Amino acid sequence: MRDNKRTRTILGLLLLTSLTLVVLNLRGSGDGARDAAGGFFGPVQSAASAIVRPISDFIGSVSSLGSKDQQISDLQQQVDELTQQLNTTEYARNRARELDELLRLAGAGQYEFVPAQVIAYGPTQGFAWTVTVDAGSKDGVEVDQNVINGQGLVGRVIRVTDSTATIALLVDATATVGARVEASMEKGFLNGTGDPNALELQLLDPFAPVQPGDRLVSFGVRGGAYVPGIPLGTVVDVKGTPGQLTRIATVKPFVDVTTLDVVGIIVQKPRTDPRDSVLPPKPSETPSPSPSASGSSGSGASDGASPQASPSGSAS
Amino acid sequence: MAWLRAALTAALLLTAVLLQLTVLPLLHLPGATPDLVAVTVIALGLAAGPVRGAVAGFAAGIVLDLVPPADGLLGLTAVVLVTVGYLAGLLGQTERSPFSAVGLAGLLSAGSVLGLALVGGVVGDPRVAWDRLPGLLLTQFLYALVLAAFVIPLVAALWRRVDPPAPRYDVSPGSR
Repeated sequence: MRDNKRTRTILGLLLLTSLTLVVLNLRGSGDGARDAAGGFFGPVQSAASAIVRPISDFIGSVSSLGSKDQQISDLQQQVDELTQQLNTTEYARNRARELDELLRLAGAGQYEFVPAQVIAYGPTQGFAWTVTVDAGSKDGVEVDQNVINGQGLVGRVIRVTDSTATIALLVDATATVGARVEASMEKGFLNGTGDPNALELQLLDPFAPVQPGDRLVSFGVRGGAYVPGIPLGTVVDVKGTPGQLTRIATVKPFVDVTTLDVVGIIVQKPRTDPRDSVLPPKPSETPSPSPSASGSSGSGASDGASPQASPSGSAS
Repeated sequence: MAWLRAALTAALLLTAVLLQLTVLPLLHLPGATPDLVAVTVIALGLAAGPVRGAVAGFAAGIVLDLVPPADGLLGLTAVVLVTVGYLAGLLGQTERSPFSAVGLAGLLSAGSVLGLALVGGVVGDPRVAWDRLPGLLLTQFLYALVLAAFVIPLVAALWRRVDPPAPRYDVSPGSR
């Protein structure tokens, strides 16, 4: 059996080393080590993700066999070139659908982007919402660039290596985006809370007329980190009366951060502010469920999670 | 065969880190992501003793804090996993039934989530979400139970190959 005193000494030494590292890192050093580790581990994560992804997609497709027929006909309308390959696997279909939606959104806003795929996710119990993607400085990615997908803003690049980049998602508790309400030009700050379905919007004007159902786009400050016009989310609840200093709105983001796959990193801002043009047309309030249900599922390949109608009307 | 033990520990931890960051989140399970790294550290502590468990926890914590997409303070996870590995080694030194080992792994994994939240709160991490913590603790406990049922026997079997226990001699008088 081990000598108890020696055991305790080693334990104390290890704890002391860890705490020293924490203190050093609090004062700002240690990023070099992280960059080196990222440069080494990034390709390994890429490879592992490439191996595992088809398997998990296969398992997902087996478990949802019932809805495949409808989904196949939707995809054939959207992705013409892939419908000619009758042997296309489910994996390629999902990726093509996501890339197509990303292209529509980026085309509407005239954003020049680098496509990338998520290869690693930060664990939920770490409280930090970060992911790693397989595009890096070799592809033109730099820190503070915006990341989008087919639904809207995903987050911001916080760390870059040769072949990977780390992204802080917009639902992270330390993330803040300048936001503008659709059409009314009211501005505010959209803060992440750590909850993937609820962000907090703090309005700059306490008398601003904001209601549930209003949609938000990003408000790009000249020289700032956020590109203008990217769809952010929908207001679901407003607390406090107009005029109160603590008027806060709860916003549901357009992007479902738990199912991220293909994203685009915007490397070039658009020359002109796209304003509201990237948002899809507002869904109309039809009382009869059956015609609109078959219409919305038949007209576009937008996935069931997104609340808006197919963006085919607004894209160029 | 010290290098063999170190190599096995490194291989187990690196595989666990890779699977945890790349594969397990794809399952989209509710609540916490199953913490394969914590369960592996606990299994190593149970199989190899408190000191080796603490060292494995330190290494795993540093790797988790360095590798993308980590963004928190370097060393926080190490503090928690060192404690978890040490406790697993201490509590595992008494002969245990497999069920109690799995239950211990579940409790220590949930404890690691609580530890992360507490240490984060102490250093002033703005991301710690106390309202989500009970859900994370419960889901982490359940997932760790499932993972430990596979990982603990596997690690124990592998460790016995590289570090066979010393044969016991019966030295009581009159045993001829």
